Amino acid sequence: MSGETYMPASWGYGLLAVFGVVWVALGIYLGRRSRDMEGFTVAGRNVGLALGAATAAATWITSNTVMLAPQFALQLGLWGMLAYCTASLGLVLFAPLSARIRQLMPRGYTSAEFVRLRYGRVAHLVFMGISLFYGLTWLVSMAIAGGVLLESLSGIPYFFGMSAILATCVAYTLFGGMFAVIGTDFIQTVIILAGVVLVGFWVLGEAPADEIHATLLERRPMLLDLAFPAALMALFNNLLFGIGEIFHSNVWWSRAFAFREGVAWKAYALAGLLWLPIPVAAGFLGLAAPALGINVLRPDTVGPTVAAEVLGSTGAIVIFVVVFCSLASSIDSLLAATGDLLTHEVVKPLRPDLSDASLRKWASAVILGLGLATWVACWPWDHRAGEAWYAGDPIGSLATILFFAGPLVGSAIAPIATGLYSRRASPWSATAALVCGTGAGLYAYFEMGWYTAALVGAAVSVAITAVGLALGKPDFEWSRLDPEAGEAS
Amino acid sequence: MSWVVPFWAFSALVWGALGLAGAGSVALLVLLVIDIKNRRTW
Repeated sequence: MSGETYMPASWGYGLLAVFGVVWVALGIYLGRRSRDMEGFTVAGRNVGLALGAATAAATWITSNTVMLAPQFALQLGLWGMLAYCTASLGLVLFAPLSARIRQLMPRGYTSAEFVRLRYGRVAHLVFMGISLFYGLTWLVSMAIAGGVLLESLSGIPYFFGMSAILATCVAYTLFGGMFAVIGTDFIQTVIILAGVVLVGFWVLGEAPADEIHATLLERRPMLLDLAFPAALMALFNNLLFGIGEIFHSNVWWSRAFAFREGVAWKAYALAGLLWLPIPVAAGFLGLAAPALGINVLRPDTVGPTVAAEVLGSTGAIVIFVVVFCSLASSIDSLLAATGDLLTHEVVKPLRPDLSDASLRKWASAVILGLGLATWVACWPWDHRAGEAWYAGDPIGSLATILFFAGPLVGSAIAPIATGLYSRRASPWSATAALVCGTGAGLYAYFEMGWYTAALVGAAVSVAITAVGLALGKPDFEWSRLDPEAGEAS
Repeated sequence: MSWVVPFWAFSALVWGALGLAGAGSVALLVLLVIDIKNRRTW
């Protein structure tokens, strides 16, 4: 890690303490409604448009969005930012699916439950493997990113920063469940959007757009070139990775279940619109660096470097708060959604006799266990050996690990989408699509590069699904997705 | 082959993104007020 920070550590500790207390207090306050499982895991299935759109946008704005977008802009130019923007399409494309999910499974809880009811046990097992691998990878990478970023911004030691942000998120998710997650997500979204806009306007005041453009044209014209091949590959890979992440992950399904009837579609479409400008609004800081004469030593922290150079300590505080909110809004959602997945798909089948109140206690215990497991996984074990495993280019290393999940989630796009709309989609084609898509994507990851993995995984999965649809019989009964309907009536 | 983005497009992209993000934060607050008024928050 570089020894240079952007603000005194004491300020960082102060901000951590203030946000920690505020989020946990909010979690306790909002958690008054989370007494039963329905409240704790899907917020009573009555969430309105404002909170719905904000929670979807906040969860999708990770620390990567605000930190990696400027790095992409600096290294891949305009296409780097625009490639990142395509991730918003995942939210927009999920909008109709979320309405369909809400309609087909009005009493549903998880995405794995859909796969089990729609495609059977074998596909469910494969899907659970993919979902848990992806969810845990994202969770661990966010917690590590938290420690690394807080250290690089304020000098707070990695272990303390990682532990503090994880403990805060576990505490308020534990007290308030989905109500706390959605409530805090709203505030976090407004803070992130306002922070990014504030820093953006401030930087443009110091380095006007014409100056940035002229400097790039003179010194690094490739960054303004729309025919930049490496960036074009990244565009398609990012697009499919983002769609795969959203279509399969319980983070997004649990929200579809939580939204009031008729809200899911609008909430996801609006969230896509809210998210769309963030990679450009945050990313252009990377392009402003040459015009401002800033010598960027570490591309992964070019965003805070530019903000702190231009705005001084105020800029560093704003960036710290934006990064903290981006991390918290994703970590809390992952804890809640992965916790739901384990509670409903592992604990409940093993203990079908559990009452609602007991299951609610199990859900809390699972979240606590997940938090502890994440904390252990993020422990800087190798520090004792002299250097942490993520040393060097920590954010880049984390992104590479996360991209490893690309083929896994890319292979889930076709089985999920067709399973929701076509009665022809069959268990064997879904299982084959998941397994072969993942295998082919991982082969591409190692043989061709990370930027092709999701693309290849999704393509193979689509081809197998298409064959399955051609050969399958239109015999699936949609009512099987809501088995409790019969019991209720 | 080279397609360099002209200044007007670059400027529109950056200002447009900042404007959309700013409008988004305001829109969320307005929507929340409407939801609270109609008792449709959650």
